[in-house]
Amino acid sequence: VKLLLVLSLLLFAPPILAAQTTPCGSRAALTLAAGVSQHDRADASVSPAQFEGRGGEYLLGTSASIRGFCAVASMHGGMRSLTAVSGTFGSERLVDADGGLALLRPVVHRGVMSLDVGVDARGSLAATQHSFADAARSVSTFRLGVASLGPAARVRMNVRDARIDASISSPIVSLVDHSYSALWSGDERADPRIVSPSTLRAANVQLAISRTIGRGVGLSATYTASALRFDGARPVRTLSQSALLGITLERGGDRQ
Amino acid sequence: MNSRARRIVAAVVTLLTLAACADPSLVAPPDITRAALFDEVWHQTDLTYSMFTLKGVNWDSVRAVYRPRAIAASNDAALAQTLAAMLMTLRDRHVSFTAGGSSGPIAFHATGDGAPSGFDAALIDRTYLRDTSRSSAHVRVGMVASTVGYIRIPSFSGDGWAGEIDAALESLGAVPYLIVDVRNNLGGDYELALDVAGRFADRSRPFGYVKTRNGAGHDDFADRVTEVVKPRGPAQFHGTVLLLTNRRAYSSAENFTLAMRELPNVLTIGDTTGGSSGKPVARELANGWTYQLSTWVEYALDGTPIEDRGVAPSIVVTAPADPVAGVDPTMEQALRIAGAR
Repeated sequence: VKLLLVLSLLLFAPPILAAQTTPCGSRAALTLAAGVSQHDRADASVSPAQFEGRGGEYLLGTSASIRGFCAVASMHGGMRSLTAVSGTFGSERLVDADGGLALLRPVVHRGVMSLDVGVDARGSLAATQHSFADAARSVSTFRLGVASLGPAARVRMNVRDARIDASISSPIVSLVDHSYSALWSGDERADPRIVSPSTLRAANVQLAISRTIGRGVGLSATYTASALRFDGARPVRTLSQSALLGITLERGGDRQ
Repeated sequence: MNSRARRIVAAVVTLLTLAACADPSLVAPPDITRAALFDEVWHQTDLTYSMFTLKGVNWDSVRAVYRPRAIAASNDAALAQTLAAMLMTLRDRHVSFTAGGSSGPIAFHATGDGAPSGFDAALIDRTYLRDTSRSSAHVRVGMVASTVGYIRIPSFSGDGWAGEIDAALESLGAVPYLIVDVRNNLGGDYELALDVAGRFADRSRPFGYVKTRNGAGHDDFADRVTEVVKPRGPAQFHGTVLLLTNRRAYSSAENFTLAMRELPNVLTIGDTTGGSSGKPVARELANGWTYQLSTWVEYALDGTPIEDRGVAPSIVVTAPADPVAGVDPTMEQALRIAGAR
């Protein structure tokens, strides 16, 4: 509650925009990126083992300056094949997507560096299709859905013609839908439960380096990492990392 | 960007890419000692199995009995036998244990399972079926009297073959009576069974409900889900269906019987079904062994659990077939109702 209070005060405090004309650094921006991701998962509903795998990752991001705030929305996801890190287990196919909307407000601006804080609403959905190593080659599908709300912060730094953005967010309240047993086609209803940080802890980190290559066009390299620890009756641990290269289209940019 | 800044950016990108390819440990590697394997099976069953209360099983007592035996097992085969024996205390045909490789599953068999079923498929083919040319891969089809068709479904294994029922119904023509025989049908795919039942449904009708385990407590269940049979296929059979069942009809064959029983044009004849209704899910161990556990409890619309009780017929016939005399009393009863005797 105290954290939310502090965030509220920060959000409604007068913005510091001394050297930056727009909170996002541009009126609007769109980023398309693709790359590779590494996924490590241990979901006790599925298996006692940790599974890992790599696959393609795709990201669509957008930001817009709205009345002193920077609204940042992004969605990324992909499909990958996972295998057990150790032991003799079956294999998995993971389809996951993660989307978020952060509302940030500049609170510190010193020289080439600025600090924004705000709130981040985030949703993620992962469907795991697990092929068991039994004689019948049984296949079961499991679901993990998380919707969360928490504080977010972003540091921006301009280094000559490049810009470095580092952001972090962590939920303080979450809604979790986790398959207790395998899903079956007769009942795929969600069973969401509100959980506190004592049950679900997570962090999302993003580091992006972008450089303008032409009027309103830039190239970006982005690293994202999401870690989740869910201590329900069937615990879940996940770590997803991705490295992406993309193109950014900006309108009304400060650097133009 | 000058060359130094460019090098820093390149180094950061390289480090992050390497970090993205690292293999962090999120949980301890699975232990394959005898005690750990036992604890994993016991604990997962404790968390997953749906019928402890229904079957009156004290799982803690089972652990106390079997854990010392598992730890003392002289080899893998003995350990597998102990784990299987522990699971068999659940007295559930959907619970099984497979010790990897080419081993077959060890499943529960009730005392009466080895007794003759009283059903003789060859007798039906030899004595009653006039023409079996309409049969297909999964169903035996023919006429047993001028106004009575016959479809035997020996199993609901596989999926996607419900269309064979459409072909069978079309080949039998507009017969007023149809005998559907699921005796000795050990089950198979739940959705397929309901798909076949839909060939006889006039409209959507609830026929039962299930409660699925969803918590650590043995009586933690999600809200009930009503089971519904819906019209399926290009056309439905609306004549009188005489459904033959016996004690060897299990699992999906019981779901099928439960659904058919609610249809107004269906009469069930024979013996009560086997009473095996759990929805199994697979689990696996770090050494490649696998096991299956029931995850739901299925009930008839009046709240009666199907497990261990089965689905009772409308007309009870328990007398076994007599291959010497060439008589199947259940078939004879169905033919009498159809006016063919």
